[in-house]
Amino acid sequence: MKTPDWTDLNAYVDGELRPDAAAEIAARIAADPAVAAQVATLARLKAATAAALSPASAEVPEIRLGRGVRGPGWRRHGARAAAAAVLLVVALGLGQWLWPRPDAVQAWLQQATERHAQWLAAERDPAPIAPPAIRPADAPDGPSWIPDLALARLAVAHVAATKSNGRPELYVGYVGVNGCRLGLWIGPAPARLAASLAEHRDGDVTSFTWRAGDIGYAVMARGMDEARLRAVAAYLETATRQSLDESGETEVARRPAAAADAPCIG
Amino acid sequence: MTGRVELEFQKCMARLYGYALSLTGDRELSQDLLQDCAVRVLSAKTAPSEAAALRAWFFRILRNLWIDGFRRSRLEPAPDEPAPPAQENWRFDEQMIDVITVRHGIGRLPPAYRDVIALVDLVGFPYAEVADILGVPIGTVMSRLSRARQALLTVIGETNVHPLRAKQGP
Repeated sequence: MKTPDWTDLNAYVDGELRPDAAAEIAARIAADPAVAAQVATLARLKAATAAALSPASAEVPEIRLGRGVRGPGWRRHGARAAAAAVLLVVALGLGQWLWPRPDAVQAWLQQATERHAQWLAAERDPAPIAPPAIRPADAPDGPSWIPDLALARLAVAHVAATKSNGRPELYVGYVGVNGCRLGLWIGPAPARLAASLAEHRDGDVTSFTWRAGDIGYAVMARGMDEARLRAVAAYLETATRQSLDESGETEVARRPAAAADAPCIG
Repeated sequence: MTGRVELEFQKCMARLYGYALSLTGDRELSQDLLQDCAVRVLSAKTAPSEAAALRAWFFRILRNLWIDGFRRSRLEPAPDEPAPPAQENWRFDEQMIDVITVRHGIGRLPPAYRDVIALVDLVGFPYAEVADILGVPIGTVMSRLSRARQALLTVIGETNVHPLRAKQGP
């Protein structure tokens, strides 16, 4: 009977050997104290390693896996976002805008990136909107489609609802823990805006656009890791589609006009 | 993506975070890695239907994220297949093997060794799953793991970190 090598002993401790090979090593353990000692050491090491690498439950970061801000979560983004979103979605639901020209996608995206640039220029050190200051006055069950990016460690720092030619648009600025800034533009989709995720580059600004129903979305950032931005965009695309699938926007569009008049706070 | 994926991801989060810690050795980086992994998982159009494959998929995504971004930009990993430590005159004082000494020793191992040890000992994947996640043959997993454990024992044996002896009696 040959002495089992170190690799075989490891496989034995891990239960990875075929039955005949395992039986051979078991016999060797019974006959050779040196082999038995090695196996005992490996077993002890394996158990200690599992314990050493297991993080304490309190240490595991909390990650919310919800796809959008719903119910209580909506309150964190506050009345400004609530009022702006309600206003936007109600207006979108009315369908009172003109369809843009076929070549309007680039112009639409340019408008979005310019809005993003304005925010970057205006707020050199944006801070997340403090929850106590933005508690909604009248939006207990607000629309669910303003995405919560806490998952990607991005917090809402800026919300602005605007109108262009009578068409409502919404810009949401997010700030990351390391200062990176990401903009989300929501507005009536131009006619040729692709439904699937499309990447655009303009200088050092990278953008991703998509369409969910009649609403167009653009997410953009300057100098952000592209893979990270793409992942966030893909997440947003999924979240906005699911929101649409659940008829969230349609439902919100039918809310009483009073809800759309909720005042902006802060 | 279904609630099944989210539920399974929640179940795996502690081990995913532990795996991230073993890869990065840094809590902040590990939190970022876990967050990015969650985003990637939830934004995927499809996911494996079988539970074991789904769990392996989570870990593969986290590892690929580390390779794609964090490792390239922030870490200086050792070569993928470090030279095996010497085996001659192998002896070991088992009393040295303790959670504290092992944790200290793992932190001093090359990333490739920490990677395979974490997947087998922390996550509990069989060798075949580990081979799939790492993209190497099973034989490579076996040899890398055995070298990793011997390297760990060597580090523990050389360390000046010692487990405290339990008190005997009152």
